[in-house]
Amino acid sequence: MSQQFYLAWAYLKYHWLKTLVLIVAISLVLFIPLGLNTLSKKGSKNMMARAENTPLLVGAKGSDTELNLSALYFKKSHLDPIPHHIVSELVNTKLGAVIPLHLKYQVKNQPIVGTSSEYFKFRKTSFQSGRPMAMLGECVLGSEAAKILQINLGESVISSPASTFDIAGSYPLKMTVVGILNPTGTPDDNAVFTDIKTTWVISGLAHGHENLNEKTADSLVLSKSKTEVVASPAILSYTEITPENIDSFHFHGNPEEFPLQALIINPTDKKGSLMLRGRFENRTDNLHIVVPKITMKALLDTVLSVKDLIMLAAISIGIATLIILTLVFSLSLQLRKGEINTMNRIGGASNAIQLVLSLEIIITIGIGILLAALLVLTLNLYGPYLIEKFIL
Amino acid sequence: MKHILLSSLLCLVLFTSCKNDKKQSETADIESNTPEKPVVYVTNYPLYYFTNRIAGKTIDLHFPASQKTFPDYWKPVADSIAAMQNADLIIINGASYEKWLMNVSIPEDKIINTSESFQDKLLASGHVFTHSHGGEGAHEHPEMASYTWQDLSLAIKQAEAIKNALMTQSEKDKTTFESNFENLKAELEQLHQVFLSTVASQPDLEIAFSHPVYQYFEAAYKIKGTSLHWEPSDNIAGDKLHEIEALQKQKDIKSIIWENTPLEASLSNLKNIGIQSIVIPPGGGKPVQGDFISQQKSNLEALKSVYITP
Repeated sequence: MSQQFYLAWAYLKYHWLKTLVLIVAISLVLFIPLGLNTLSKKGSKNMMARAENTPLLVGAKGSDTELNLSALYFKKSHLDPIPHHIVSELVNTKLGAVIPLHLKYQVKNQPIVGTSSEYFKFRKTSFQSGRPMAMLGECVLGSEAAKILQINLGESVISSPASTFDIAGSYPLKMTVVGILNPTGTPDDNAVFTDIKTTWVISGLAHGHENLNEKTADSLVLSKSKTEVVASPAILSYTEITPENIDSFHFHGNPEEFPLQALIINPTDKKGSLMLRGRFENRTDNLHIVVPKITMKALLDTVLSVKDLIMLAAISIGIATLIILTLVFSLSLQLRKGEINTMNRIGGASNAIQLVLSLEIIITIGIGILLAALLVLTLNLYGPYLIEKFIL
Repeated sequence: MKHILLSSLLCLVLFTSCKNDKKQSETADIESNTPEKPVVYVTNYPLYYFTNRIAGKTIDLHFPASQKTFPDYWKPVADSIAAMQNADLIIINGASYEKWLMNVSIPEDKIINTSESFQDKLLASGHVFTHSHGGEGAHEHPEMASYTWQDLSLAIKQAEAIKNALMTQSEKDKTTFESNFENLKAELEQLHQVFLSTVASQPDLEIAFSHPVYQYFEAAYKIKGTSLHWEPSDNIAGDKLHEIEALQKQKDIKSIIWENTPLEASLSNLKNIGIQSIVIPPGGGKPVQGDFISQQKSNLEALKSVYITP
């Protein structure tokens, strides 16, 4: 047997290019449907898990999918803002806990998630070090965000402008890192969490500056009366919130009307969930409520139906390839007729010769299967990352 | 024999340690089965008093600014806020009282604003400050008067808001909360009526307030008064004495209400020009003696000394 194996292996080695082409063809034929299946299963599982853990989302009327992808995966979006007073309105219904989300800004490529400390309890995230944000200007980093930004507890991160052309639109704010989360394997790992009010400071809706009533600010005051001070545009807003200047921060406008991108609602029970959904059905304003589980399932069903078509195509191509491979092997035998005759003449038993030829086919197919398995395994490991990187 | 003895000893040690472990785990079970009390934070003394009267020992009540005479000037540190984030309820006064609320991260569904139900009755503090930044439009930062409990009818509404919030936390104590609230309400109602009748005995009497912190007191009991900007630590002499003399001539003022006991010299100077001084603390902080009700009774006696002349 070992002699036959040696001869088969020697033949494959000698015709390495032909063997390699056959192995790659076999592995690809197997990998495409298997890999696609694994990827879609793994991706669906991860996406559904996040959606299932988020009972309800409220946002401006528009694409349900966009609202889901933004609120669950912190993807850049153009969601219309919803007014902050919706939070107190929903809190007063006592039908569930309300967690606001402001998703407009970033620290380099890491999304800033303006929310409340309840978010961490809701997602059951634990702290690697530190604590949730407590004061204006404090932030908490996801485990990956801390690694990517190379930031430790007590250090600072600076918010980036909302877009290249938004240099004056949002204020870069230096935020102190007061907590780092443990890895969760979810988009929370990549986020920079801060209080909703801090995101309003970044957007310029709240700011702090020198006390205009103090003598030190006289050079920056254009006019001053008992009840009104007009400051020069040259007066600079603070770019870092410190214990010394925190009291100077104030809202410009009515905070009740300040923007949010979405709300997570954790209903008290099933009845609460149904009542909330019913109430939003009857609303005439720009708000709507979605059940992430339903939206994501619909999205995944669409993806899966596309996947089914691709699978069908892949299987058809696979069958065609196998037929071609059979043809290749049989033609190869025809071409090697002389070689087989020589083996017969020098005393090779016909069983042994058949074994050599069979081993060549088995080894080629075997290596092809191994390679396909290896590729599927790799995809299984890095699938969620690839989905997040290229699909979401 | 030695082996038998050693083996027996080892068995005994193992048995005892197992028994202890069992005991400890039982204790832990009992502890974990004990229902935890709702953790409630309040931001001033009147809220502390009302909450304590209504809920008593059924809750774990915290008043972090208890050491402050004026809790509205309390500035929380991050640790206090981190503790408040884990509370079940954070009972606030509202009406611009908690200015620090803007600078902290507290979930909104834990906050109970006790003045929410009477937003239409809130009064302006008189501190309207407008500022603009160059070409931007001017924006106002108006402030509300905060000491709402000075109007005892509003204090009742605040206590009711507290009762309603507490009832969401403990189903089994609902009856207790209701009955404790009714007792408190009766006491406050009675005091409110006596305050009203006291001032009604001389409705046109003009008095002075050392500081503009009595807006709700003035409005609730229809007190005709003029607010000054004096501190109890100020020596009332010279210009300040001229100021009140002018007011005396203009409005026939015979009394002044102070936030705290003024200097002896001030008392004497005012007495010499025929002005009687009484002390009615605004009451945001914990009183040195007594409680909220006894403080109100003491305020009432002080007010009677002005309105009801023997």
